[in-house]
Amino acid sequence: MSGSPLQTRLSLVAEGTRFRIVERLREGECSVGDLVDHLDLDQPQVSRHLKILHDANLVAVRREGQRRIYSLKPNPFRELSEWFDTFGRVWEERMDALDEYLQDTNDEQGGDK
Amino acid sequence: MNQTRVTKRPESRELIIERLVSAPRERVWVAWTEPEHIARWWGPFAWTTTVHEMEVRPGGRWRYTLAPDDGMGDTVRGLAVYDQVDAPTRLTYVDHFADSAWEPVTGSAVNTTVGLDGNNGTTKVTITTRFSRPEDLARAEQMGLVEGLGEALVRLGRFCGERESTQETKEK
Repeated sequence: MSGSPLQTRLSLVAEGTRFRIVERLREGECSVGDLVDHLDLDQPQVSRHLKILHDANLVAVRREGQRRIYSLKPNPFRELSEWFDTFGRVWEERMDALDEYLQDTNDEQGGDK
Repeated sequence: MNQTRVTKRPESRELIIERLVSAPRERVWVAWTEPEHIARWWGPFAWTTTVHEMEVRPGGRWRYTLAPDDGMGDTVRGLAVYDQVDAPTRLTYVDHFADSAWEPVTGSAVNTTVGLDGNNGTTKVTITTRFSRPEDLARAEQMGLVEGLGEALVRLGRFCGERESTQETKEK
């Protein structure tokens, strides 16, 4: 893999069909057949994308009789989510700073309403 | 003390930030739209914000730099282009990272809406930020800029007391 793992994962999940598969898997584990039905894709397409996601360690698979059941692996997605969270933290801090600033300047103005 | 509420909507790549501040919305508007005011709160703690241009009108630009006070780390350049300007209630703009020539970095666009809703000297600030498509984000990261910001944020986390950084990570 080239680039940082985060970057690779972002790129992999960004692809339209895979994004839809991941969105579907967020609701719970699915067999290939479930994904074919729900996403209106053909089976070779779904299998190919699942293989890519599996190779990137983004999904786990288990067998149930003849069926293969796929689910999201939590850790890589947590990493993506934490990356997203950093932006939330910036805004939290910024809002604290804004509030403080407004209070300080209010004092300067002699406490108007 | 008022709390900020952050809501994530990954499906639409949105972060929604809500906060009550104790000031009438006219003052919050001024804090957001005048260079000498915004420079005093926009940047992270121990970073200095310098506003190079701020023309608050549809199509007008806001150019700023964020520089770490300890000199450890690169200056970050921001370029925002205003879209809707409706004082004192609603401001929308597209914020980008900018390169050294002040050109916006592809894929770094963040659509931002600031809504101010107030009465009796209290204002509810609602900010909606919508990130670029994941493929654009991936491209921005390739250019090292998002990663650079990530590093800046890690350093920032130290200042902020490293609240939750260890809570969820270590479970293999």
